[in-house]
Amino acid sequence: MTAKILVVDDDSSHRTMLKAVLSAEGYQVQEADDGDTACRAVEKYLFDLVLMDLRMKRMDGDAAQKKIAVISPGTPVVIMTAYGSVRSAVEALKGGAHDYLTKPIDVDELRILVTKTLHHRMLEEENLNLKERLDARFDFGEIIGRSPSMRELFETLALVAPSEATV
Amino acid sequence: MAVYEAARQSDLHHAMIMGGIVLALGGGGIYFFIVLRSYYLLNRTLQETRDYTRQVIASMVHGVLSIDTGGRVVSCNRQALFLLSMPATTIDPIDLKTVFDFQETGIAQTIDQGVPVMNREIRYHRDQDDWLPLLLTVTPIQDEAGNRNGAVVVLRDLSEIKRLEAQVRRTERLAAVGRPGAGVAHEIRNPLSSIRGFAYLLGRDHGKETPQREYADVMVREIDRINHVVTDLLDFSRPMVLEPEATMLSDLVDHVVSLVSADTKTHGIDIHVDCPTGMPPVSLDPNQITQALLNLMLNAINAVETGGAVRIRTSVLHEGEGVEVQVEDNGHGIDPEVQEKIFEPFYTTRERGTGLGLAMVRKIAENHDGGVGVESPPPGKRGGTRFTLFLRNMQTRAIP
Repeated sequence: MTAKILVVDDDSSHRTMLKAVLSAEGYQVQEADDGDTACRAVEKYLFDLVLMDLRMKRMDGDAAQKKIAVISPGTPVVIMTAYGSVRSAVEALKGGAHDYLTKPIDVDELRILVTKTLHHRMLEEENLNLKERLDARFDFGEIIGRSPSMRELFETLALVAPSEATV
Repeated sequence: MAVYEAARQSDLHHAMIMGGIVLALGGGGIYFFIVLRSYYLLNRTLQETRDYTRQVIASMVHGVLSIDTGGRVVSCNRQALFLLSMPATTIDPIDLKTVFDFQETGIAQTIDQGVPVMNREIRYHRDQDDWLPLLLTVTPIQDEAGNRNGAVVVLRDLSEIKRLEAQVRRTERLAAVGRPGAGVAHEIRNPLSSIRGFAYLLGRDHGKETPQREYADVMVREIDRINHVVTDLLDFSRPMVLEPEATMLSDLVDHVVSLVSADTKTHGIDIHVDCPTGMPPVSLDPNQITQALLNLMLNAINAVETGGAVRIRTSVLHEGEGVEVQVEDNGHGIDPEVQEKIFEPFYTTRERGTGLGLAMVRKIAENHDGGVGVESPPPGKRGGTRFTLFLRNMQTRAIP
């Protein structure tokens, strides 16, 4: 399954360039021309990555990123900044962005960052999936007990159940 | 018996007169003593009051002079003599008319009509090209009967205030330049980013070592070059906030030398550090000065051939006014006509330079209320260049 990437930038040439580069890498790319449109797109579809400009006319990257974090908490957002200053990057990361890139974009750097971020997201999802499955397998709903000592016992059971060791 | 009685009478009479005389003499003596004592006390109090008044006036930060109706100086304090750069021991009374233009400054009106001069800014020329900004206040001296007999002249040194005003203006000007900088960065880097990305894509479609691939690579490199200039320009125009702290200049110089040591080793360049370790700490912004010295050092290293030498020397200026750092090389030197332009932004003689290195040094020096100068060749030398960075010690500043 190809990863879906949302490119958000109010500069259409820049958007076209990013789409061309990422499509050439085999990703499925969708565009949005400001933060507002981006949020609506995220509400509708599930994206594996959002690549967003920090400075946009209608709803800047900072605000949009915070909104996206609420709509789709698992979707990593990579911020692009033209200032190249440490401060704006730190602000973006503090706001919850996954990483940042400085303009002009170095295509090699972009490719590596996208691969890494998608890989990270995949691992996170996998981890979450496994945990859920583990929880489902060791559902102690059949045993009655809500006291702390019983709960402790359930936890120990969940821990030792997958292992071969004798208890 | 009558004789005896008469003698006794006369003796008593005599004794009484003698007693009266002694009493009068004693009383006179006591009175005289009291008068003398109070005279002495009065005199001493007067002297103390006079001394105290003199001390108060002498201790003032401002120059104070009193003049008579003819404009001659009757009395003045040390600060007044210092500001007017006059010798402390003059036998002849100074005629203030020879120092100030009485009509222009309004002192004439104060003496003739009793109209005071309030806070007038004047330029006092110490000599041909050195002048001092002074704030002049002149008030008439009047006795109880209302007779004017001269005036009091108060001189306030404005040079520190003028200097701070100039610094504020400079910072404001730089801030005005720096403000649109952030927006400009966005407007330039966005299109650069698009072009760079497309150039990369176009190049990728062609095999390695094809001309098309090479052209695309050139495009990418040139875009990086434009971006480099934009970055330098933004750094240059960004208002610099001075964050001074007590810094050991020798440590700072050692740090700068260590930063360039890799460069000097590969080129076989000798670095001489002449920096006394016992120097007191100087109040300066260590980050800015590191950058300034680094720029000067890199220029010096660039100017010398392999096997050349670069010398960095620090010294404290007299009266702790500031410090001086000299960076000297024995390289190819700078032509006199070029020397005038080297501190201008974007002036460069190098193919890949942005021409902002020395402009930055000057900006940093001015930020420290100092300056930077160039001598090529340095005095007493046949070749090479010496840059002198002067930094005012900010701890010695005091606002009067």
